Amino acid sequence: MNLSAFQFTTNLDDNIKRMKEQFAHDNTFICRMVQGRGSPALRAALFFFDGMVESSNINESIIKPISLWEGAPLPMDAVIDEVLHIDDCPFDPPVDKLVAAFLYGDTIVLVDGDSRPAVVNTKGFAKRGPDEPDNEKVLRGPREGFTEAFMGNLALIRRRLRTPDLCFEFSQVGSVSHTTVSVCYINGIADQTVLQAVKQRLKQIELDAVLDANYLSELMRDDRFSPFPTTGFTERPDIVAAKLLEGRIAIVVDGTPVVLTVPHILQETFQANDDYYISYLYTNLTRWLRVLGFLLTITLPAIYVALLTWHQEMIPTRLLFSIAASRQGVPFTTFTEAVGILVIFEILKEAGTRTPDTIGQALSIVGGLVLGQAAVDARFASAPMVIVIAFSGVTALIVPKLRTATLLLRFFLLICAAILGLYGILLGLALILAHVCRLTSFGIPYLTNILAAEKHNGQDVLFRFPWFAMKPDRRFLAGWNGVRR
Amino acid sequence: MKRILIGFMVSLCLMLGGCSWKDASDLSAVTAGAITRENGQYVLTAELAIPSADSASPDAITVSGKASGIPQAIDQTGYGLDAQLYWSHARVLLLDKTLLRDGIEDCTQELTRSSEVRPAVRLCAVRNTDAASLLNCESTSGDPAGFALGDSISYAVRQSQTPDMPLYRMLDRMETAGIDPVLPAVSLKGSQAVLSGSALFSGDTLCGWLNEQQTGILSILLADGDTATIYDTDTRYQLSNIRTDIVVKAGDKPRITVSIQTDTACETDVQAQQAARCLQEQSVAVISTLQQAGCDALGFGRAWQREDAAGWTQAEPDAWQTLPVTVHVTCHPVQSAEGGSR
Repeated sequence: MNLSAFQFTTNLDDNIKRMKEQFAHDNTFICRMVQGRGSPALRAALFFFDGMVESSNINESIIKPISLWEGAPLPMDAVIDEVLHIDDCPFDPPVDKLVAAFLYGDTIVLVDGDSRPAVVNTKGFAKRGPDEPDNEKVLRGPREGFTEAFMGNLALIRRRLRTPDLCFEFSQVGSVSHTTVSVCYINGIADQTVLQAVKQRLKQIELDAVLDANYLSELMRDDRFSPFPTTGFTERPDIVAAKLLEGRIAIVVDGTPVVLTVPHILQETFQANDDYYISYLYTNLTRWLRVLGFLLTITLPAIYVALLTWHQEMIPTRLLFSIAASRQGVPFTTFTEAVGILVIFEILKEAGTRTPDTIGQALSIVGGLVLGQAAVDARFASAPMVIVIAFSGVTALIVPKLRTATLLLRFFLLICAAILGLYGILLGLALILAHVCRLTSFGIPYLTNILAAEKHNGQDVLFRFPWFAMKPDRRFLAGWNGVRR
Repeated sequence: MKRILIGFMVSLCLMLGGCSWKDASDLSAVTAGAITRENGQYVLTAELAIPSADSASPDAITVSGKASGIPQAIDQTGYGLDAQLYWSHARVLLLDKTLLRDGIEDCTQELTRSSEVRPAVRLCAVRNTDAASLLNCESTSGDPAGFALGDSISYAVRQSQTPDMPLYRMLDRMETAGIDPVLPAVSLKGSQAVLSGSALFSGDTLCGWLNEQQTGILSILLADGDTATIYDTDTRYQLSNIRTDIVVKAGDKPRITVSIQTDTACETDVQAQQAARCLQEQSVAVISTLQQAGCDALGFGRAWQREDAAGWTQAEPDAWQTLPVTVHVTCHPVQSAEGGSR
């Protein structure tokens, strides 16, 4: 961008002309001339973007005071002090900050005879309310969610953690977008090594634009090719507050309701949002169901294929007859059938996700019931296979944080099963375990607290202890002094 | 180096995978088999289950193969079929009288060596008819006859109505000195295959039969089942938690003591004593029959050998048949909603 237009002179008309030339192709650019009542009159020009500003704020704080000013023309600093009714008004900032603020909804005010601009905070673009996120609903607990408004999101966090130790450190990423990113942490609780690593990696990011938190996630992860998430995502301020209290660090990105939390370890993937808002007895039960669900969803199709192609002797005789009867007329091998139905299931799921809610529901019903039944009737697939894949698909939904891992590992184990049967599945699981063992998130081992729960913090891993038995200073990283950095 | 290692592992996996991948639809499950001896060759008849999408129970057909050895006969049986015969689900193998007559050790050993047949398959002796015809009869459940017979035997074993004699146990008894095999017997009743006592063997040769009631007592003595029922004229006793112990008292005049301990569903100690007396009398009678037939089904010889190896070696091989046997029965009365004296 040519910044010469922002090198203002003392001639107001000349400044106006150059700004109009700079934004000649931007119809949202507005230049407003204001003149006072004095003689000679105070002449000022306002530059702002339509839709980015709060009009009433400009009218009341800038235009009205200047137009009612009956005195002589004043330099810019005097205008700020004596004329304008404003609170936040950087005077004559560096050009890059001036431009960034201007493009982000602030108004540039220039007066005739002074080349020094004032930047008035008039941001006021449309934003939605902090509604409950659709994909992070809870049975009981807070219903607020982050929005695309950056400062509003920070306010949602601060409202929950009223401590002077809560820190928000801003930086900008994206050579074109200049997206503001805030690193949030609680001083004294957050691990300093992790904090330095976060800042370091943020500095190293070289992108033209950062439009969502996932841009940062992919660039900042320890292992960029692993299907397991090593950065956490949430749209809920209560979750961010809880993570900060556990010693984690949150990264808030302007323009997206998704907030990153790091480090992210495996135990978090089995924790639900409302684990802490409902009875610990129920929580513990459902947490184990999630673990079981994850294991089932990745292994069930593979085990079925392994049994039917390698280990038929392990199937009870009557069940074998039932399966063999249902497979009569199906022209595909069990493996091909499994892969085919899995792909179809994923297509239906993806289509359901991308369509509006009302159509999505209908699509799920049509896909799941009608298409499945039709496929069985037409002998494209056998009923047991449809049951296995459907059950596997349903169990995947209870661990949404491992969606990618579930999808990929299911296919991986399916191939292992087809090649080596149950031995292949065990081999595949061993490889997955080895991979998970070597994963880290910002230097923290991915299996922290799972492999050594009794040593560090076992109060919220396999079981969620009741609040009366849980000591805050023993949660996650607060008491952790790991060595794998 | 890393690429070579990955390549090696992939090829190792493929080699381990081999070509033995069999889809379930390429297999034809054998639910039962019958073995007959004919002109020095084995005739193997297999009952194949043909699953039907329209019916809960599979249909069945039988196919036969003839060869000088069991593995060859198995191959012959499946020859020309559009699906590979799958023997792992075979529940029962029926041994024809032609085979029982000539001795079953060779057949049993060949079956054990065969990778097709599971060692857990149950063997049965066929009585009063030929084995293959039993596979073509009817069953009350609608299942294939051999498959239904497998269910019947499983139930009867749990109820101590017939001895549990899978292939591996049969071979073990034949190859171990001091114990003889015994097989459940099956015969044709009307148009159905039913259990009818048991076949006694001396070594690998058939030496006699027991009727149903005697077979029940033998099963109690073998302690194969979970529960048992004995009858004393008009009284019925339900037994459970059966434990049997055989002890040979060594010396110049060795004696065999069989101790049976069991829970009896009854209301008074007197009824328990009556049950014990009844079981004791019937056990003595069955043991006597075994001794007369020369079938050491209870392993008296093995117990003797364990107690007094030198004395057992010096004695005649059939000396156990003349040893005096004492049977002690202890019945503990237990309250139960099931059975009990009426």
